Amino acid sequence: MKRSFFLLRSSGWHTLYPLTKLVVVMAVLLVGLAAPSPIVPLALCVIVILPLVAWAQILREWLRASAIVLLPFAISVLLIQTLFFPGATHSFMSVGPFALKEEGLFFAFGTIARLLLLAGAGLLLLLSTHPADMMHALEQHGLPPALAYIAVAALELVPQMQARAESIADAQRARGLEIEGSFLTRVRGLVPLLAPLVLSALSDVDERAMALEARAFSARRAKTSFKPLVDTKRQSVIRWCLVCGAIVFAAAEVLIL
Amino acid sequence: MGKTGLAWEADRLQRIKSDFTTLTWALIPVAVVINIVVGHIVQDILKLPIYLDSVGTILVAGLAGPLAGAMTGFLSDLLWGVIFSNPAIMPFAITAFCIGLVAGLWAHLGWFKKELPLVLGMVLVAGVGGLLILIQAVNSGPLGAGLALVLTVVVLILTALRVFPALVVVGGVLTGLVAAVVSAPIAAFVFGGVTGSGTDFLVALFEATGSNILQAALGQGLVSDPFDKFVSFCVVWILLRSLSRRYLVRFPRGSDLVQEQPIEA
Repeated sequence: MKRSFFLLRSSGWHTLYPLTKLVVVMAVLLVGLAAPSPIVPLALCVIVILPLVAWAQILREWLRASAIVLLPFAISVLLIQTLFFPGATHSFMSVGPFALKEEGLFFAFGTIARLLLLAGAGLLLLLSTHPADMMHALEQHGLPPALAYIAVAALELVPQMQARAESIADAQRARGLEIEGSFLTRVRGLVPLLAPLVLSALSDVDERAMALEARAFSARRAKTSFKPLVDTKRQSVIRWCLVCGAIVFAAAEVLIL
Repeated sequence: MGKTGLAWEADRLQRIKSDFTTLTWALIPVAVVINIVVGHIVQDILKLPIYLDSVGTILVAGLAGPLAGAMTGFLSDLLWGVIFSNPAIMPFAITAFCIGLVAGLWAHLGWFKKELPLVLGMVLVAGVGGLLILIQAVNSGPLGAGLALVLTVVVLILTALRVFPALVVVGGVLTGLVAAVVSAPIAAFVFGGVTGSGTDFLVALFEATGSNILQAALGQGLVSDPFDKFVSFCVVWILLRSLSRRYLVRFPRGSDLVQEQPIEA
């Protein structure tokens, strides 16, 4: 399990202020998901997201990650909705005892289009922005520092905890615990694996709190940052335009279409 | 009692503020990672048919109040999306938020420490189970009601054998009910009810017998969530029992979780 899927590139997209990227993605999502027709999210994916992904030079990784997210879902949704869509009357084919339903197929297509946009836009952001930078940018714009700390600290903790979980599993196996095999065997593995992991993690909390206090965590004054982020006037203007434009567009879609 | 509404509000604000000590802030990221890693172990390594991704949320809700729990749940789902590069699950952060809130409420009512007389406990558990069966019977017909009945019988037996305290069981099942109700519209709108996971066969079953997607998604949630949250609450209860009183009472609401003990001379 990796800490994050951030890919470092020297693209223009990467040099943008993280908040700008976040606003772009959110605006696209708002416009795409408010639309009743599945054509809109699909079109946005092709016209907006894909060029941005190419600009950020992460096309290959983006395609791969999107496929991993979408494929199991797409297969599942196509099968289930074309076969079992409730209240469907038109069937265009029948396979054995099952009738394939037209309404279900359309519904599945719409759902996949929306999820394609959600996953595609989200992954563009995740792959091209370091989580710590994003948190820092949000902090500069009013996110409470404590919240930013939680997100960054949790991301840092995941690999540590993962390593600890593996060594606990090894230790328990060495003492004869089975974690593979029948259902009951696996259920029996639950508490021996989880209890030491959670209890040891909790016992660290005290020390973490003291370390935080020693570094003036609860001080109210503004803190200086180790890593400066560059925001420009132009990006700030673009952000506001995007926010307003997206709201107007989304409202129009909901009201008119 | 002579207190104006405003003063009462101020009291409550003070209470919320006092929930967020540095210890709480240090606990939350650890709990977020507990959610993620435990969920990962259970789903991907032990391959058990439950999520178990809210143990940390329930722990924080108990130790530091509903709002801290809600925050833990919300951030866990967002970070789950970041770590497994799956932005599609992020909308469920709203569900996790609600799980934290209600779990915090149950803990505040002392449900993790109170021992009820056996008969009263059985009646309460049966009542919650009956509620679940009723909702499932209305929403998803005999199949859903049957599965709810199975769960009810299982938790009744476990309560009767005094394996888990009645109120922990009740809290878990109720939390699952809330989670299912909040998740269903999200699942129906974002995913059309299907999420590409193991519970999809349930959605298919309910769609085949039901009338719309939302109903099918709710039917699936009402099978998976009450069971999952029941197991989660029991796991948290086991964890709380293995932590020392000295450790627990250091947290802002730790005293909600431990039984009063007479001071020994």
